[in-house]
Amino acid sequence: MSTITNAGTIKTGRKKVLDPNRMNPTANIILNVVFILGVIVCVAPVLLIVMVSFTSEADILKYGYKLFPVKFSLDTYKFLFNDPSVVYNAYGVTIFTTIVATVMCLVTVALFAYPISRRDFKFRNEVTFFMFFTMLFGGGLVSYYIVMTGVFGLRNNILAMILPYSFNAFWVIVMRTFYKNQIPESIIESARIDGAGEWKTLLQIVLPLSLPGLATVALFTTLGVWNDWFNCVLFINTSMINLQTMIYRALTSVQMLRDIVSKMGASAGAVGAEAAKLPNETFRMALCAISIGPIVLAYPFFQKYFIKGLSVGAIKG
Amino acid sequence: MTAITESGKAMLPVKRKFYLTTQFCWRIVQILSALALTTLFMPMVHIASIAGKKNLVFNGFQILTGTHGLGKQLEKVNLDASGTMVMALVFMVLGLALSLIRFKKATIFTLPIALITMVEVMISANMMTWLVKKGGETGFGVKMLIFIEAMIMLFTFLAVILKRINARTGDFKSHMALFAMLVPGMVYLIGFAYLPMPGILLAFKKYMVQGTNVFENFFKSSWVGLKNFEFLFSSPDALQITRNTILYNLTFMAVGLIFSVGLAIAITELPNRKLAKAYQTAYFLPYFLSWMVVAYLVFAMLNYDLGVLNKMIGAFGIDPVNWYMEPKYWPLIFVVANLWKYTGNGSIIYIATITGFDTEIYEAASIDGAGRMKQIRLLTIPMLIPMMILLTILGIGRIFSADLGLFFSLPMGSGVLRSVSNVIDLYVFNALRAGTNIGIPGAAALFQSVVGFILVLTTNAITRKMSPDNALF
Repeated sequence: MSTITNAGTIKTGRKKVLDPNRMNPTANIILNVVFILGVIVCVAPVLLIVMVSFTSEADILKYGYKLFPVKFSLDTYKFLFNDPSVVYNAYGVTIFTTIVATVMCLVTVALFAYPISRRDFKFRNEVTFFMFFTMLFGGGLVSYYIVMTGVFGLRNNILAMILPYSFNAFWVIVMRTFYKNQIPESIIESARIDGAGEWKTLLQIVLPLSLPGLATVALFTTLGVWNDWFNCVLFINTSMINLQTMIYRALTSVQMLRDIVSKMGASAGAVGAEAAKLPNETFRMALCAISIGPIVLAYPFFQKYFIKGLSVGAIKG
Repeated sequence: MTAITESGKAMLPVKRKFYLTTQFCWRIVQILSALALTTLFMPMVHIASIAGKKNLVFNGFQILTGTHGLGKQLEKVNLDASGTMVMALVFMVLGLALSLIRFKKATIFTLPIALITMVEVMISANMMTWLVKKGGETGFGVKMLIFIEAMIMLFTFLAVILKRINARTGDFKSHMALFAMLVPGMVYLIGFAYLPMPGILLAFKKYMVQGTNVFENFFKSSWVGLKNFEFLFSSPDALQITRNTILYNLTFMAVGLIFSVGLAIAITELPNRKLAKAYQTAYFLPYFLSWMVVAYLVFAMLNYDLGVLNKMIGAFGIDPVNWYMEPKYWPLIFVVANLWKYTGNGSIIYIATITGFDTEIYEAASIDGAGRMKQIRLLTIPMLIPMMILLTILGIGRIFSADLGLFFSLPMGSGVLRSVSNVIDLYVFNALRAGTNIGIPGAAALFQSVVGFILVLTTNAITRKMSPDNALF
C-alpha cells in the first residue's frame, strides 16, 4: 500500500489499541465473510479460465466449465507448446511494443514535465496550456485514423501500436506535480551554483530523486500497452498481432480458432478422427490464461506504485 | 558553463551567445534572400512545345521580365502572366530590401518580411502551377525557389522567437536547454494531437479518396455543409448511441460511487490491517485485466452449452438462456462487468481520503459515546462528500465518451445486441473498420468532441467555484 495508506494504517492501528471495544467480534466476522465473498467474486472468474485450460476437452464438453476440474489434465498445454509459434509471435509483438513504448513514454514524459515544473521557466504557462488543451479537445477517432494511416502510413506497421503510447499528457501532469513537491528548488539552485547545466541537473540530480514517480509512469504505461487492443484491431490486418487481439480473434471468430488449432494439429501429425478431437474450448482458455499470466503474477508486487499513481493523479499540484 | 559563479559576470557571455544566435538566423535569412534572386536564373519551367518551338526551357528571370520574345509566345497560348510577374517582382524586391537591412528593432520589421515571403511563395507557386497546367513542367529552379522561401520564413520566425525569448527571460542559454527537453513531447503533441484536429472539418465534407495523399484528399473533397449531420440525426442511430452512452455512463457513475465508497469505508474499518491489505490486493486484480480477457470471463459464465450460469440455473430447473441473443439482460451485464472491473480501483482514492482524516475527531466522537456505525454515518460519509461530488463532476465531464473496450469486446460482435451495446465510440469505431463513408462517423465524432469539450469546461468552472484546489485548470 502507499505511504499515505501506511501512515493511515499506523494511526488506525493505534486507535484500535487505545479503544479495544470498538468493533464487536460478530460484526468483525460478518464483515470478513462479506469481504471473502467479494474476493471470490473478483478472483474466481480468473481462476475459472485457468482451471478450464487445465481440463481435458472431453470433460469440458461433458460437464461444462468448472472451477474444480474433474480430472487435472495438461493436454491443452502439451498441444499448445507442440507448435508454439502462434503464441510466441503474439507474445513477441506484445513484449516488444510494451518495452519500446514504455521507454519512449518515460523519456518524453520525464523531459517534458521538467521545464514546466520549474518556476523560473518563463514559458511554462504557455507550454502547459499547449499540452493541456489536447486533454480537453481532440480531433476524434476519425481524424486520428486518417492521420495515422494517411499521414504517418502506419497501417500494418508495428509502430502503430507503439507511437500512440509514446507520450501521455496526464502523466506529464503527475510527473510535474512530483517534481514540484518532491524536488526542493534549493537542490536545483545549488546544482546551478556548482556549475551544472540544465541537462546535467536533470539527469544526475532530479531524475535519480524521482524514481518512484518514474516507476509509476512506467508501470501504468506498461499495463496500458500490454492491454492495448484498440490500435492493433484498428490498424493491423496481418498476422503481426499482439496478445489481446489474438485472444479476441480466438474468442469471436470460431473459424480462426479452428484454423489455428487444425494447423497446429496438422503439424503435430493429427489427421482424421484424431483431428476431430483437437482441443478447441480449452485451447482458447489456455491462450487467455497465458496472456494474463505475467500481469497477474506481477501486479501484487507493483501494486503500491499503482495505488500511489492513482492517488497522486487525482490531486492537482 | 565554466565561469558562472559570479552572476554579474555570467550574464555577459550569455548575452553574447544570444546575439550570436539571433544574428545567425538573420544572416541566414539575408543569404537565402540573396540566393533566391540567383535561383530565378535557373531553369524553372520546361515547355514541350509552344508555337512549334520544341523543348523550350526558360527561367524565372525570363518569366518575370518577359524578354526574348517569350511574352509573345506565352500570349499565343493564352497565357498572360504579366500581372503575376509584376506583383512577384515587387514583392521579391521589397522582401530582399527589407531582409538585407540590418535592423536594430528586428521585431517590428520581421512580421512584414515573413508576410511578404509568404505572399511571394504563394505567387511563385501559383504562377508555376498555372504555367504547368498549360503544358509546362516545373524545373529545378522552381523547387529551389520554393524551398528557399520556406527556409526564409522558418528562420525569420525563429529569429523573432529567439528575440522574444530573450526579451522575456534574459537567460537564453539556460532556456534553450529547457526548450530542448520539450522537443520530443512537442513532436508528439503536434503529430498526434494537433495534426488530427483540423480533421474534424471532415464532418462537413464528403470525403473522397482521390489519390494517395491525404492532404490532397482532404482539400479536394467537396463541402457538403450539414448534410452529414442531417443524415446522422435523421437515422435512428444518433438517438440510440447518444442515449446509450449517457445512460450507461450515468449508471456506471452512480453504482460505482456507492460501491467504491462502501468498499473504502469497509476496508478502512477492518481491524486487521494485514487482511485489509490482502483484500485490497484481490479487489484490485480486475483492474489489471484487459476488456478482452473480461470478455473471456463473461463468455465462460454465459456460454449456452458450457457456461457456468446456465449450469447453475439448470440446477434449479430453469431452462438455459441463450444470453448472447437476449438484449434485455445486457444492460445489467454491462453494469456488473464495469462494476467488477473498476470498484477496487475506484475505492483507492476514497481510502486515501479517509486515511487522511484527523483521527482526533473520531476519538472525540467515541468519548462522546458515538458507536461505530454512528461515526461512519455522521463523520466519515459527510467528510467524504466533497470528494464524491468532485469525482462525480469530473465524471460528468466525460459522460460523452464511453469505455469502448467494454462495449466492443463483451458482446463478441453479436448483431442482436447492437441496440443495447451501441455507444458513440463503438459506432465510430465500427464505421471506420467497415470503411464506409467517413463523413457520417466524422459527424458523430465531432458531435462527441464538441459536446465533451463544453461539458469539461462547464464542470471545471463549477469545480473551480466549489473547491479551487481540485479544479483541473
